[in-house]
Amino acid sequence: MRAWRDDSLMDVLPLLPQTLADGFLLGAVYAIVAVGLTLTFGVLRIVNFAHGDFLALGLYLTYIGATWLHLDPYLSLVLVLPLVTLVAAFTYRLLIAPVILAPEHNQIVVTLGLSLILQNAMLAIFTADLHAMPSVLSGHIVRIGNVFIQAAALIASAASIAVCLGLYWLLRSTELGRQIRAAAQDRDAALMSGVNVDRMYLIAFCIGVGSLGLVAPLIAPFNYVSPSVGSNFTLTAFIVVVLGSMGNFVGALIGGFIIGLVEAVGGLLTGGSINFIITYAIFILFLLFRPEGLLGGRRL
Amino acid sequence: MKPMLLLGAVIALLAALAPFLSIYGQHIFVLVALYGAVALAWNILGGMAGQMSLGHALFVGAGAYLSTALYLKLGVSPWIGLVLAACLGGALGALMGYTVFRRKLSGVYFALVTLALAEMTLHIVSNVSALGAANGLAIPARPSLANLQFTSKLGYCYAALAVLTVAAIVIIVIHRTRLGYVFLAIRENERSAAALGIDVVQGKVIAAAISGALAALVGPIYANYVLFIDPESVFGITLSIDALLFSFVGGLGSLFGPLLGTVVLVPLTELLRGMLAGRLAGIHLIVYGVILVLVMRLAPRGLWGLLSDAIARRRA
Repeated sequence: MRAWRDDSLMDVLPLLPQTLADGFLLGAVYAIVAVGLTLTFGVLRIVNFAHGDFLALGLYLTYIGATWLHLDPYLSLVLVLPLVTLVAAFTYRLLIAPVILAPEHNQIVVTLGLSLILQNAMLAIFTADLHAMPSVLSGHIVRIGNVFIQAAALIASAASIAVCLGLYWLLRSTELGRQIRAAAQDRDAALMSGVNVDRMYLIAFCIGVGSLGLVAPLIAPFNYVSPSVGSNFTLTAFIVVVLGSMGNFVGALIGGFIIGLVEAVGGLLTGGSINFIITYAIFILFLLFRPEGLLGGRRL
Repeated sequence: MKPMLLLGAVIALLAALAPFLSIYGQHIFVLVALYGAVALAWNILGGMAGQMSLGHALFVGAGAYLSTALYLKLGVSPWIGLVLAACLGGALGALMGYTVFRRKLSGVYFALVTLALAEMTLHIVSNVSALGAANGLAIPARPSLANLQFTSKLGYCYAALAVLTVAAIVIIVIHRTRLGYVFLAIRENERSAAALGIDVVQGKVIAAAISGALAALVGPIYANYVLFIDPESVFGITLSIDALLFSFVGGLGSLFGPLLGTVVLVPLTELLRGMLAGRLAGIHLIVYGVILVLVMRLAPRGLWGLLSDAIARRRA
């Protein structure tokens, strides 16, 4: 028994650099998805259970672009980003704004309802089949030592990190960011200082959800899309956001990499859906013993 | 005793009605009663005590798997399984409530913990080969009262109605005793409740235990009705959301609003399914989503609220 274990460890060890690289790449994508969720939560104080479904929407728009217009996923970015942002704006006006001051229960139920609508509309239109969206870059592989990385994954991760940093700069160093933060920190005080809070909420929601319109075409070349992709990402984003402290930008970034690495290493060691159990266990332990997350406090 | 008499009359009426329904009607009867019982159970914690759970499938699934596994592996009668399921559900509810509420988690954090617990259990059960892993467990059809299986759908109508009745009686008893006021006080304002000398944590733990026990009671009946359970069908998030949805649409916090929601939505689902005949999968869930959003916008107190407002206006 012992010998077998040692053997398997010896088998696994050489794969570790590859696994860490995979986890890091995955983590960057998780980070940008979680940053969007944490931004909407941090500013609007609304927990969006439909967050991941907007990513699925972006992926399906990319798929439509690829099949109808024969667009490479990277080119369809110019369509997908504005469309997802537009849908986000309508969602804010129609569904989110009316419940912004309602009890938390009602807000959660509205976003749950939205998630049901989006997910099942996609199911009804596109069926449950998996679709791939190959790009000219899909086959390209970058080799660093013994580590093989898909070029598309590298681009997606680099872009994700860049967007996270860009959003951080926007919030920290621009007048718009200052107003968004004011609306987030104290709604009434911001209103009295002449900040158009409703507008800031709209912009924050559009950025938080719209960023998924940017991520979708970038991860499309090495991912499949199905209607349930969204709920998987929503759950992962929640785990990341709680890990990194709800509403905390840097926390979401760090949390994304942690969960990416945990999933990759867990997958290497256990395989299959035992992996999910580990992730959920971490999530539950954090919720119970450190609900304020790794960094604590709300800093936006 | 007036509510009890009214309840008795309604149950008797339903029981007398069941034999005259078509097979299809009886199927819907069973579904409404079972989903109604889960919604009523959910509402004890979610509506009456104000702690919104997104993981009530955990209790239903635990009950279904416990009684089915005991019956298949050890030959334990499903009747004993039914009792043990309620005990397990109560214990799980109390344990979950104790760990979560002692740490003052509420609102979205509570919702996320319950969601994660149910999902984690789903993945654990999916990996236990003794429980059939992801393939689930099939119960051989051996209709007899001892096996909690019936030759006709009518038997299941009465079994489901019995579970629903238990849930309704528990709710009326809670409402008429001190516990009802404790839950109400906790829901409306925890701090004031604590200032009045109410043990808030204890009150929520009791709500979770009762809620869990009643939800778990539905599991074995459901398992013996469809004769097959798998992790996705009894632990899946769909079931948890259904319980919440029926309660919100029917009227959160009202005693029997969740049942009203079930009575309206479950037949609607079946009707849509029949009309579309397998085409456009998921269309009923789109309808659910739209109804949910509309109810939140137009009638936050649900159908029960609309109904009682209408009655009040008629009287005025």
